[in-house]
Amino acid sequence: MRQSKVERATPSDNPISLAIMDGLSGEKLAKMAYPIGAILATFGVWQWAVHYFAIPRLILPAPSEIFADLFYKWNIYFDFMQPTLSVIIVGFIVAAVSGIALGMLVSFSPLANRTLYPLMVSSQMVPKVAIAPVFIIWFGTGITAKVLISFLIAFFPIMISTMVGLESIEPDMVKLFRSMGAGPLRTFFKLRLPGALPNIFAGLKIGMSMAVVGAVVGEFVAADRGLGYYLIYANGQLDTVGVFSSLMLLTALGVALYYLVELSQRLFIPTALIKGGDLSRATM
Amino acid sequence: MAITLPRVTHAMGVAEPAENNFPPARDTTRVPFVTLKKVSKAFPSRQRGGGETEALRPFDAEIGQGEFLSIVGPSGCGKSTLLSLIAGLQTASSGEISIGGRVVSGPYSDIGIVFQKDLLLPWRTALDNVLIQAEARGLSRKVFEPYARELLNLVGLSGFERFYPHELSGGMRQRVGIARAVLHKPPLLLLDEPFASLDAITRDQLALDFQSFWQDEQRTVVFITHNIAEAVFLGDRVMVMTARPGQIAEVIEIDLPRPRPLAIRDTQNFTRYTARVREVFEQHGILRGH
Repeated sequence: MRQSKVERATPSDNPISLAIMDGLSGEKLAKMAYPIGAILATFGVWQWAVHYFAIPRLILPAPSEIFADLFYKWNIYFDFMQPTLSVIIVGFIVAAVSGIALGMLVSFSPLANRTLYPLMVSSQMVPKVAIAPVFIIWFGTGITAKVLISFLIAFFPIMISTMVGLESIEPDMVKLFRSMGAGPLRTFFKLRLPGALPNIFAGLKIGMSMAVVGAVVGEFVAADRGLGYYLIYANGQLDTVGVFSSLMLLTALGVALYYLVELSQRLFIPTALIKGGDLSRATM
Repeated sequence: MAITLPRVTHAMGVAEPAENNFPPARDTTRVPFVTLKKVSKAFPSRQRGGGETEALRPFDAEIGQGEFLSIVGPSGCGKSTLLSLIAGLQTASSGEISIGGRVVSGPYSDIGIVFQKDLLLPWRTALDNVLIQAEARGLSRKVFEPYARELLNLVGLSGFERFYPHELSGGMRQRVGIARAVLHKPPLLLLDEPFASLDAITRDQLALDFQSFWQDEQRTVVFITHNIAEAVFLGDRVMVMTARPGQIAEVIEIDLPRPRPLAIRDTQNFTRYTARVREVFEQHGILRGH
């Protein structure tokens, strides 16, 4: 009986999803069926376990209760999602721009490599979550402090992967470009940058999930809105369902944003070169 | 541009393979195109206070206009270093290199290079990989595109223009590399073991195709290999190099008519040359008989 409830939530019952699916090839559909099936199975086991072991709602609510909570309080959740989303997006964009720019600088300027790079690495050893309160003191409880925390956590993986990507070019390839009379600028745009793109996007994907973490941490420390705030608030009210609802929403947000990065990658890297859809990896 | 290929001076099967009755490296009517004067290369030694390691002993050489020069030698004999020196990718420790009367100082871009690795850009199609030669030089893609397609056709890859490197076989990738090397019609082509990573059959086919490709275009080619038969098969002359320190042991004039079919490798005339190269290696202790 419970099972059927879960099944009703599958996209195949939804006419809009059906229309989208019609446009997909059978192979693509099969690829998507596995991760979706796995997620549904997890919910199924969860639902069953909560009932079978009679776990109190205060400890672990059943998925059905979480979805019901999300449905009935959608106005609140939707309202609280927006500030979190803007912190994540602004934090991520700042981290992406500065991470890629600094990654380039460090891989091209030996001086920056010797001075800036060690500074960056050691600054990463500072526990970023622990300096969140400091940012609140400096920048107040507005969006600035939260964006900064989100940026700080997301920045490093983007910078490192940009660096690694730019430096992973084969020396013979550089030789070839020199023999073709290409200057440093043309070598950069025709060889180094396109060669580094897969790495850069890998960094951006990690950075995106980090930006979500940063935004939530920021809201934990000081906020009067946002999903992170709601999570803490619900926790204080012993509203475990509310905690799980915010978690579910944050996860969904993270997955959606991850896919946005994945999609933008397709604009830059020929589809033929991207190996398989990694829907399964995205939900990690 | 008329070049005189050495005439066949000895009849097939007359000479005894064991004897060294070779025509001495003669003065030919070739106009020198690449000139190397007392060129040497030494690297700082890895050992502390070890001074320098001699990679190439000072030597003189001339490569004629339109000549196909094969350089054969064991690994570590400095043949790749020699190629880098000609391309201006490395600076000689002493001596002077000039191409077409111009002294080489710094990367010399009026050449085409093919390396052992195909070095194709994985994110570019075969056609785009050929066209990178124009793009890297700041030349118009549009102008070169018809010729790039023609070249791909010439190397036997028509219909594969839109394929990415990972969709092509090793031999096909190397063909794309050759097409890329000649897009800008360089007077000098440098090949550094271009067929070394291919299987024996593909290798033969590419050597054969490359010969006819070269004969149509008649540009100067420096071809590096560690395969003796390949060196003799393709070269107008074979420069035999030995290792530690790298030096030119002998230059052998290959007096075989062109176009050379693969079957020529089974003739006595051909094996005389390969035997001679092997002999040079034996004399220098590169190869040891039992």
